[in-house]
Amino acid sequence: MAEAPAEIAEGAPLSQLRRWVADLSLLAKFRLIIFALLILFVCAGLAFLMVQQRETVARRWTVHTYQALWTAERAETALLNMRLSLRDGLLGADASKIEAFQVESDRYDALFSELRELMRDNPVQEVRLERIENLKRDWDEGFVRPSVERLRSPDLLQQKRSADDLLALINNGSSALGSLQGELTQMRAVEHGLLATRIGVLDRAAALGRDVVLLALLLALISTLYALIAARRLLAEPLRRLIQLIPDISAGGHAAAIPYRWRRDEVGEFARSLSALAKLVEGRAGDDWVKTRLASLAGDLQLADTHEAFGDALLRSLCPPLDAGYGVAYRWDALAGELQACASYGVSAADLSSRKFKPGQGLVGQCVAEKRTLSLSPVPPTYLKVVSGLGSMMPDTLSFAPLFSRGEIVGVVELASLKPPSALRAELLAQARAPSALAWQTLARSLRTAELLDVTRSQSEELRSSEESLRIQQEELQSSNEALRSRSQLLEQQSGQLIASEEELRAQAEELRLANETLRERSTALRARQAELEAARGTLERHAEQLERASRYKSEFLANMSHELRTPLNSLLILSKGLADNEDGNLQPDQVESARIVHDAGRNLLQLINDILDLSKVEAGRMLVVSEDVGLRGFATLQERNFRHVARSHDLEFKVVIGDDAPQTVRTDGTRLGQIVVNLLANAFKFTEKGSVTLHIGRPDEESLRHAGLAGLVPGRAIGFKVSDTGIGIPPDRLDAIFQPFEQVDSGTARRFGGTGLGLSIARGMAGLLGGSLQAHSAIGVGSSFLLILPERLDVAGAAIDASAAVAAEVPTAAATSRPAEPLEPSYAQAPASDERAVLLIVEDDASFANILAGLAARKSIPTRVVSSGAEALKAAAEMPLLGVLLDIGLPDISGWQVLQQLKALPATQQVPVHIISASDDLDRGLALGAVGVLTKPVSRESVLAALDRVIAPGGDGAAAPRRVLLVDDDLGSRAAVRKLLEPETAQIEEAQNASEASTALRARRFDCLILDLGLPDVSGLDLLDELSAAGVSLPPVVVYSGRELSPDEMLRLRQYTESIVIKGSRAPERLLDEVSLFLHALTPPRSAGAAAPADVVRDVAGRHVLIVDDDMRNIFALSKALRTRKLEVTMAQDGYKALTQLDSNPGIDLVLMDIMMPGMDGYETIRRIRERDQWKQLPIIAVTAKAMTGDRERCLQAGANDYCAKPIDIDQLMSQIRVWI
Amino acid sequence: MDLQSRQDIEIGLFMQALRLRHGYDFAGYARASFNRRVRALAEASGAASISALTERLIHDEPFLAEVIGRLSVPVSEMFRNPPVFDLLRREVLPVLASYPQINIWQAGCAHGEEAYSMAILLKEAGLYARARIYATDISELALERARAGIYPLREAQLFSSNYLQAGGSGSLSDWYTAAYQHIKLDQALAERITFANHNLAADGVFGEMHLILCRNVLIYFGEPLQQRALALFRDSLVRGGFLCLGDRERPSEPRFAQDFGAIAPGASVFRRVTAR
Repeated sequence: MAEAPAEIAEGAPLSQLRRWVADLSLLAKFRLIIFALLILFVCAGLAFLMVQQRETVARRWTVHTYQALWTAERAETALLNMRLSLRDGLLGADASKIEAFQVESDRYDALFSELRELMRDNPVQEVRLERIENLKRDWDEGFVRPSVERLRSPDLLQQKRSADDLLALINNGSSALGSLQGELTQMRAVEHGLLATRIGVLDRAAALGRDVVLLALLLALISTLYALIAARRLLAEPLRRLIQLIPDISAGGHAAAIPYRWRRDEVGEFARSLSALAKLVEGRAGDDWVKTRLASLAGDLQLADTHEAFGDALLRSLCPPLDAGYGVAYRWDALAGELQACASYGVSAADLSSRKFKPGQGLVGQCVAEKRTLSLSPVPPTYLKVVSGLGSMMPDTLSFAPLFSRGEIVGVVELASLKPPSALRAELLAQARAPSALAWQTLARSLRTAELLDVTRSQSEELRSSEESLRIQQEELQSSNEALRSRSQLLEQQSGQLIASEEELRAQAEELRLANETLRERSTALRARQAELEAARGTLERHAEQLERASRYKSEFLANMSHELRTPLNSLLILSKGLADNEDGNLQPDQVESARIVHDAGRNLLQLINDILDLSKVEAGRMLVVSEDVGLRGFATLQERNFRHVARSHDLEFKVVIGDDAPQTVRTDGTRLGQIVVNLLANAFKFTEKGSVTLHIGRPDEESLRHAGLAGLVPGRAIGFKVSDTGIGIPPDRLDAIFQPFEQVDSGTARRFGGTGLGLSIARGMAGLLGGSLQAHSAIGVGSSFLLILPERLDVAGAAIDASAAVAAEVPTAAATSRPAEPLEPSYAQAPASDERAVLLIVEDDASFANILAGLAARKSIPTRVVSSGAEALKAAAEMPLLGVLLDIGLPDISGWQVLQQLKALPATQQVPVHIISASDDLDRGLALGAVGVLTKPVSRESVLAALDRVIAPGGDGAAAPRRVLLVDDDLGSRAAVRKLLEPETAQIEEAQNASEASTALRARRFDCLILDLGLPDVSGLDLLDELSAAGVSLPPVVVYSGRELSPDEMLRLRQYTESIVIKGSRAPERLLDEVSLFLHALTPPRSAGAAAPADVVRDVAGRHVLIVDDDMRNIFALSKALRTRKLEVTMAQDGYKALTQLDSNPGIDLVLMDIMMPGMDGYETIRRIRERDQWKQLPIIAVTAKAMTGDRERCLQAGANDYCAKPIDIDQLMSQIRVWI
Repeated sequence: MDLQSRQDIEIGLFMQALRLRHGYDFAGYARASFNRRVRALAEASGAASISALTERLIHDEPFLAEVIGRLSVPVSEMFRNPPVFDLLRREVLPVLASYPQINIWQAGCAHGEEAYSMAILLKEAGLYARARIYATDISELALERARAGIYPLREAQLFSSNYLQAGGSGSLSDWYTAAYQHIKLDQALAERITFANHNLAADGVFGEMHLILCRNVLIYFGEPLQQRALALFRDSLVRGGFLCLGDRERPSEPRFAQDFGAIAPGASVFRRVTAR
């Protein structure tokens, strides 16, 4: 649209508006016209309507005025008629006229009100109407009313006579009416005036309507005409002109000459399209020319086979069409890196070779550097001229075109044109560059290929000659190959031999392996034998242990016995001393002598017993050792003083020497040390008749230390007490024997010197307790010396105390095993065997206890029969009806368990209540077997009475006795609910609302089931159970019915008594019934399995403390029960954390049984944690796990367990494992 | 000898190696499905033959976990077979509520989906605090995943719809957080779950249980092994305890009918009836 302003200038007369119109599109133009016409039409219509409106209004007013006129006229007529009627009536004294008057009067009134209605719009007329009304009223007053009255009066005829009056009246009426009529006439005149005006208005409106119609018609005509003319000017004319141009354009006309391109409507569009078409046609012609030239150029260039020929062809093809007077072609010499002229046009070729340019040098080089065509115009006059035979002329333009192919410079063409450059020629030059560059490059390459081909040819010649020499070398190689082959054959043979030897080796290896295996088998056998040996050694050790224990028992026994003996001796001594003193003086001297002998003998006996006691204490390890500081000097002085008078009386020399190397004090048990030394000194004085006795205190020498077997002591840390005498001496073969109890050098010695022979044994035992030793050296006739060596500082490790505790724990059991074998004859009356009365059978082998039982039963007047063995009991049960049985377990023939089982197995005695009273520990088993109760000895009188109640209370024959349930709950409603629930069970339900009631009931009677709420007002249910069980009350099966959830600790505690715990909830009653009926119907209520295990009390592990770690209550209880029956102390932990805590708070735990699969911290982890602590590094841990696979055992041991036991647990196996590790 | 019988020999040897080398005895497993899984294992571990597998099994210690992981079939979903969970919620949990402590054993827990489902059920019933869930499986790999409690997000839809069908009172999304195309279950759910290795074919009873879930595990066992597993369950369960089996698992053993009764006709939840 750049040319638009020029065209506007051409079409100068066009006004701005017309230009705007012309620019509108065709559709917009049509819209414009139609819109204009529409507006015109609407305006005309509106004007016409307005006129019409005014005409209607005018007409209405005209009609209105006519109506007013007519009404006024009729009113006047009515008035006149009224007067006429009245006058006629008056004159003719005709009263009937009054009717006519009345009609007219009414009509007037109607008309008058109509008139008033019509006149409302006109104030002037309204005033007038008011006036008319007043006049009418006057008329009425003055004429009408008197007239009417007169006419109505009865003396109408008499009145007729006063005609004057009448006439006056009528005249009066006429004048009033006259003014009334005048007003009405005036009114009509006014209305007539109005009518004339309104008709005028009507006429004017009609005229205006006509004018409007005419004007509209005229305007429509004019605008239509204008639209037609405009259409022709703006559309038809330009289109026709453009169409006329088309043939011109198709013939290659000029784009610039096409008009209307500036317009923005369709015509403009059309013009612009034409213009584009024209340009296209024009361009196409130029292209054709360029293409023709390029085609001929390509053809010419194809023919060239050297650079020079190519340059010539290029210039020849380019110069004429480009109107170039001369031209030079430059070739790019890649080796020299410069452009070299190779062909020329119009100039001599002689000096071409000297024309060389580097890139950027001169215009030729510059165009290469810039990579574009450079033009220089006009050429300066001093520049080269184009010369011909006729003259010379200046070139107009110089052009330098670089030739690039694929980005590489190939050459440059320089041209000097005679004419100024045209676009078409520039185009030709530009287009010619690429193909000619490509052709030139191709040519250069083919020339280069030809060169290379030459080189290759010469090289292949050389190759052929070298092949010859190769062949010769090959032959040499072949021959050497031959040699090699023969050598490799040799090698092959050798390798064959190798294989053979390898085979042999393999065979040997096989033999070796076999031998190895045999060896291994042998070693296995050896190992087995070793294991056997080990086992044998274990057995031996155990035997030795048992032996040692037996000896300890013996000592223990002695200790006990001595005590028992000493008590009566004491009184014997006191009494005999009293007798011997003969204070009353009533005894004969020989009697006194006898008493003294008795006393002395008793004292000797007491001494002996004391010695035995000491010895046994020492041997049993029960002697208490107290470590204290003992000053040696004081000790020595004491000994010296003690024995000074003995020495004097024996006439012996007594020396006490303290060595220089002796310490001030030693730490040991001073009392025991004194006992030993006194014993030694007493012996020395006893066996020495003349000479001396010496006590030497000092460091012992190494020799004697070693001799004493106290190699652990060094001389610097030991102290020796040496007692030497010059007595009779001891033969060497008796040196050891003198330390044995009851031994002396010979029996003769005893007689000579007296003494019990226990002193040295005791002394040596005490020396051992003090961590030292006592040895003797002697020579017959020369004397003896006893050397006591003690550590300077005695460390009391509590070993002696421990040992004594262990023994003490075993003593009662040991004692318990010794039962009186022979039953005493019962002292209470027995029911005769033949008596048919039912009796209480007392099975008890301890006669005195049997008597006590029988006595208590007699007090309750229960007939009894006492038997002392199981066989007798069964026999008695078969012979006589039984009220009940009190049964001991440890019977001389068969065990009470068997008796109980047999009683329960026989139909006749099945229902007989059996109560167990025994010292046995696992009495719960009795309940499982159907006993009504158990009592553990020792028993109290009260508990026996309670047991008797329990046995006798169920009634004569307990067969039909209903099951009894004790229901303990503090809530009445809850009790009622449970009672209701248990209705179908027909059980006898007893209720208790607190723990004390429950406790009383349970102590008094036997129940089959206890339903227990935990939250009781006085004591909690759990504590109640603990209390009852501690008091030895046998509990029936317990069902806990709790309203709250339980903590794990509570569950653990409860689990000791029951597995049946029901938490109240929607489905709980159902379960409660289930649990209770199980106990009510079961003949043998379920108890945990551990109780059924035979109670072989394993003495070597008894009293040891085991920690059971398991998350499962059932396992914990089964295990702990089984272990407790074997006298082990058991602590439980429900998880790993608790296990660690338990270990911390119970340092005495000897062994841990560890479950592996636990929540939180599993067993592996727990074991690892335990092993982390130094003091638990050696603690035996046995892993107990349900996992039974190969790797599981290894994993347990890896974690640090000492052994492994798979669930389900074989208790015997577990016990032997425990025994191994404790 | 055809390929089939050669392979049978190989599988037999493989089974023997597994038993001798690692103590895993698969002899009691249903033969056909076991064979299929051994072949799949060979394929998955790129072994040329089953014998090659056997060789690796013997010498390559860590390989065992993969073998066990692939020989077991850890396929499950949360609230799988929703009516069963609904039944547990309505009929079983109220009875369990009457025990002071509730022990639940999920035998063959796969990736833990059902154990977590059970935990959700218990949480919603307010019983979780006194419950303890033992989720056991033979495969360590499966247990590892079960402990993590992470499942692909795409399964969450199925889980959620199962949860709702099982009568869930809230939305399953209360119990997980979704991120990185996975869902992670609330760790509070795992608080009382003990994931442990347990082999129904070899290991014993490890505790007293009130409910045992063992769904779609027995189908992989042969008759004797099924009996062994059922005996384990019987010994573990308290009297009146519940056993929940897979939908199609109805042991034909006469002892089973004697010890257990279905809690509703056709239900796959059974109750232990006889006294110990």
